[in-house]
Amino acid sequence: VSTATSSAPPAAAATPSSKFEAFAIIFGLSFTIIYTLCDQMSWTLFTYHPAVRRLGYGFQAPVSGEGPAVYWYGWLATALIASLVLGLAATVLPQGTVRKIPWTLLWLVPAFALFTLAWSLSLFYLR
Amino acid sequence: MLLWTWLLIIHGLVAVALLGAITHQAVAVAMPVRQAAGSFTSRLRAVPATSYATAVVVLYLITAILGAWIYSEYRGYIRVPLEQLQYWKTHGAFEMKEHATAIGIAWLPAYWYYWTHPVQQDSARTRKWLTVLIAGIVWFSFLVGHVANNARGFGS
Repeated sequence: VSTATSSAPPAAAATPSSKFEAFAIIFGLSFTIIYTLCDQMSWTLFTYHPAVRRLGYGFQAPVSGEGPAVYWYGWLATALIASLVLGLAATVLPQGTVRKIPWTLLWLVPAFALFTLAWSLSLFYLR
Repeated sequence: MLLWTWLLIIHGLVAVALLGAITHQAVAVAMPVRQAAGSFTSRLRAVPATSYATAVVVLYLITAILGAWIYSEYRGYIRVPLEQLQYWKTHGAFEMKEHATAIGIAWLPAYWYYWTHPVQQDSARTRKWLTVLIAGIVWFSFLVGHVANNARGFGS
């Protein structure tokens, strides 16, 4: 083994730049999917009751006399935490793994998510 | 009420700055000029689009955080009257704006990465798509927010 060969970085080593790319792609895909699932399945880390400024764990129905319940903050928090974990996990994958994800998914996933979210609100547009 | 009004005004002003930055960048990346700029539209398409990336991310996050803060007030004091007035399309579009903004947040790291790192052959289209996606979300959110404010602004 020559000196030049032994001092060269391993072929599979990921650079900080490629690690951030892996994080960014997996963060984007997972946040989009998890947020959409949260909306569709009513998965929420917490519920906020703005009229009484009260936070409640998980999904809570509006309470009579306490105004409306807000789930949006909970969906955001749920998607943010889960996708941060998945994005950070992607940084330990061998370099190039994330680049194997088909480019089509990068536009198909957000497009499908936006369509699904819009469709779930169609009762308001079509009223 | 004064606090919310000021927050809404600042939210709107930052959104205008964001709209300008992302529009310049989206036009430059979607319709790049191939010769020296002459007309107004050519100069618009010829802006150094890379320099906008960090500003767009910062402005997007500030706008989203201010919007999320205002949303707590909107939910109690604006949305309920909108429902009572049966402004269903305005209400539905505003909820869609919140969803779209969230999806935009998801793609900010990738958007920033592909603008601030040298473009490789296969990542140019990813950069273009992410820019167009975020520009679409910003324009949609701006217009819906404007219409919702006209329908039932603070203090009305």
